[in-house]
Amino acid sequence: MNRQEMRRIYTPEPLLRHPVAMMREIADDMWAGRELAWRLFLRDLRAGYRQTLLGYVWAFLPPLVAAATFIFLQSQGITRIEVVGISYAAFALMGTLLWQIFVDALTSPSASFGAAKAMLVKITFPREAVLVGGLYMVIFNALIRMVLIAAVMILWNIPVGPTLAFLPVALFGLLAAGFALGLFITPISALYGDAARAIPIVAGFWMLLTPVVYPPQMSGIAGWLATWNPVSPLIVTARECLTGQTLTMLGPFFVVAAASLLLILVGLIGFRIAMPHLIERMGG
Amino acid sequence: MHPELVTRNSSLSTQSDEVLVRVEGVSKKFCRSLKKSLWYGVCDIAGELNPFAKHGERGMDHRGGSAESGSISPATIYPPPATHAAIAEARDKDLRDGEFYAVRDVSFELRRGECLGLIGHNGAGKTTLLKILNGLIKPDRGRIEMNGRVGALIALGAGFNPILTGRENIYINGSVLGLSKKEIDEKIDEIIEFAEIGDFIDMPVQNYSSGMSVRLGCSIASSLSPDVLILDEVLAVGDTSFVIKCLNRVRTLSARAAVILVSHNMQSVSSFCTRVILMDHGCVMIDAPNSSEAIDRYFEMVPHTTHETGSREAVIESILLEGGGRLSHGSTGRLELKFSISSSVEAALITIYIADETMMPLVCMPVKNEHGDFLRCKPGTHKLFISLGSIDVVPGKYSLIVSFIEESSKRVLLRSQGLTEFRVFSEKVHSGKIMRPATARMESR
Repeated sequence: MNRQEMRRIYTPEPLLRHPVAMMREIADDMWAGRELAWRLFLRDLRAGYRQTLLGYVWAFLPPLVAAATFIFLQSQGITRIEVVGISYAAFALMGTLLWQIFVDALTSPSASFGAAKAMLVKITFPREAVLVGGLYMVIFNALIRMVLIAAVMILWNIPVGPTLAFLPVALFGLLAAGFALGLFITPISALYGDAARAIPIVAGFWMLLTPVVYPPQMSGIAGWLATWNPVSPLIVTARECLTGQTLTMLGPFFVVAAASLLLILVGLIGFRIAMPHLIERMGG
Repeated sequence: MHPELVTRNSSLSTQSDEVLVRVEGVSKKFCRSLKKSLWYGVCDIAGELNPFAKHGERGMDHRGGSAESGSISPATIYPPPATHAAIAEARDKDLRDGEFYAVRDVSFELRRGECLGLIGHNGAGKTTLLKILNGLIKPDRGRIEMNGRVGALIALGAGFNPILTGRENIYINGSVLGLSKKEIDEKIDEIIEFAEIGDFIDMPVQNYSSGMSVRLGCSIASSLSPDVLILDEVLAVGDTSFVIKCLNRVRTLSARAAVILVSHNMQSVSSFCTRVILMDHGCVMIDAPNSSEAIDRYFEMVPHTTHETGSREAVIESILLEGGGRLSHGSTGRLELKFSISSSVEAALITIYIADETMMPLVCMPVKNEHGDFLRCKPGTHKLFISLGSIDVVPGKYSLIVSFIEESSKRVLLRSQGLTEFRVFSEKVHSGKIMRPATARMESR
């Protein structure tokens, strides 16, 4: 390998002082770690379900249970959520499955960072690979859930429209938003255990504030949330793609997706800056 | 470690002027309290993210600025002790509450073919320094330049997943260490063979014995050919024959690399290293091309302790080793021992051992009388003048162990370790633990 390439200089100087050099380093490491990321993903994939009886069922059990709760409430007349066009059960199942993709992407960076802790504190390697490997896992799980969604659509005879072609973009938006947010949580959760405890609680509550098991509302706080909750346009758009409806929130969707991409970039920079400080505090 | 297999690697290697590691005035702060340390972490990250923050208080040091442009700086300058202390004092001001310097003003340069031994007691800052060199944590001051591929035998088997098989783990671990799939494909047979794992390779790693996973990790890590090799006490584990194999592999690697070795085993340091740095409380105490000088100081820093066990029916009143604790190799050791035996004892036998710095007995000397019979000591106070014979242990730090055992019941009356610490000196460095000449009779035609 080129000697010049292999020169590494460590100083206390803030990395941000040379933003261009830093961006190049991130890109280099991303490239250098591409194989490692894939390998870490394969490892987690093989190992993840090897010691379970139900295997991949665990990938979609949480959203199924969440959906079942609301389907039960609705069927007993406890909630009266009005859904146009399709059965409520299909609506709720699609919602929770899509929501789970977002939550997965959200928890992935801090989870994979925590799992790789022993490695991170001891050896030098392209650290971004840990995040990318985790992201592969999220995508893989998302694809499994899409199989389930397809089953739901066949079961309830949901008509497919031309908007289905937009689904990959919609899913990408969900992943990007979750991942961006997850990147910002990672340094905090590496330092303070509070974050890991708070995430499931916040995520559970957040789901209720998002049109997941109910359609976007027009008035009241729920109406305000449908507009200003950044996940709303993502979930709504993705579901509209599936049910063949016209995409009503395309504008906000693109704003959120673009902002997410920008935040991912910022998040990666922050991750790199925070890394040595985190490792210092994580011991090893 | 096994010093008989290690020779000074300077003879093997091709030392060049190519500086692979350049460390200039590196300091690192640490915080004792966890809560504060976490909070400082938040502050440090925030400070780095804020482009408008002043970084003066982090003590930016631009000494290394010239090297960035490609020029090679002259030989590293070590401040004389007086200025050293002055700098240290001045800089203590930028420590936050609860912080201390884990590494303070460390500078050195290392060329290809050189082997640097880092020694010092626990908490001296050796591992922290290695972490900075490895790029895991940032220095708070100073500058580090690492040229070439860096390999570290530190965390053997980092990233091993217990559920996956050894073979699967080789790919993961190799990948973490920067090998591509193609490179691993080429090396995998060699790695498996070197690790002596055999059929276990397709078994989950969680079923491996600890020795097996260390062997596999070591085999993978040592299959790289780094320019800079960092070794942190890794060879302390594993079984004897594998350690020898590993050591030989390291020696081959080190001929073409700059090696940094952290060890508490002074014999491996003295036989492996071309240069030794002794650290204490984060500071460089000695940076010597002659390892024995640094090792001497290292031994001096160990607090002298004695340990006693047994029924205490024997008491040592005084013990005196002729020569004031400094003996030259090959001289005769003479010991004066005054002790008393309690009346509950029928007769006591005495054994004296010479123990090395780890309190490991090396030489066992049952005390006998001039007729060659065991010396039986009756109750009462006695004074013995003992000849220990020729001191043939190699140069190093030693102490005596004296044990009193009742003759009939074999009851331990007293076993006292770490007595009359003494040093053995010699002009030459020897491998092994004991050095005495072998005599030959030659028949020639």
